[in-house]
Amino acid sequence: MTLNNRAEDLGAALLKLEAFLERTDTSPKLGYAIQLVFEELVTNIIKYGYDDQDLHQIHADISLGPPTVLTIEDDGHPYDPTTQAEEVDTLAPQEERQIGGLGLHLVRAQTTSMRYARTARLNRLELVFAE
Amino acid sequence: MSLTSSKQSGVLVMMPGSRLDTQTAPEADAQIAAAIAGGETRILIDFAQTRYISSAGLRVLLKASKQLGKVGAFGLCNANPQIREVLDISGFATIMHCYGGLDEGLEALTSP
Repeated sequence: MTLNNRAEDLGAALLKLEAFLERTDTSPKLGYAIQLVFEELVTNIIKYGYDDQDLHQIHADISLGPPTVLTIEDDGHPYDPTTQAEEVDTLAPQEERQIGGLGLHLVRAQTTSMRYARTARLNRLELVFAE
Repeated sequence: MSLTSSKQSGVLVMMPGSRLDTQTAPEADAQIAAAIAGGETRILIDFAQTRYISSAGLRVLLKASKQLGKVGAFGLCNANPQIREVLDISGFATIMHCYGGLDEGLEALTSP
């Protein structure tokens, strides 16, 4: 699947992804995890990956397992989510909770491993799911 | 409209559509903000029709919960097992009231 770095493209891609997963025998739990990880990471790429206003293509590929593997490639700024510190304190009381910063926390919780490589001006992230 | 609303026993019940994600969250956020600005103080989010929520949707819930926390009441109900898991792993289940069915949520939000 290929999409441009535009919010409306992400919306359309998510609906396409959901429809694809429904046609397979993917469990509701795994299907949800794949959509969530895809949305959170592509949202970050669109928001923070580029300084220019140009169109950039983001590629995503799913190999249904077990284990299921999602690969995402983009030509944005080098960004390695595997080295980012855990920013969310899920036990903090509501008054202290920050709005935002949750996406990567959800990605970590939904995957068993995350592998990053920067090659030929591309970020390549490989995510492995429990099923 | 990304949320459908109804008033039941003094509680505004707001029902998101099938997905509360990056695409639908901004409108949901605006609708909840408008309801609060219009004087609503008790809001119950009913996930009966919702299959999916992402961090974009969670942010909308956290904002509303913070706004109503001191002056009113805010709760969630009818979360499916996957949404419930996201509420658990994000820690939201410990800072927001999550009720089983609509009746349970309404009863909790109407009691003084």
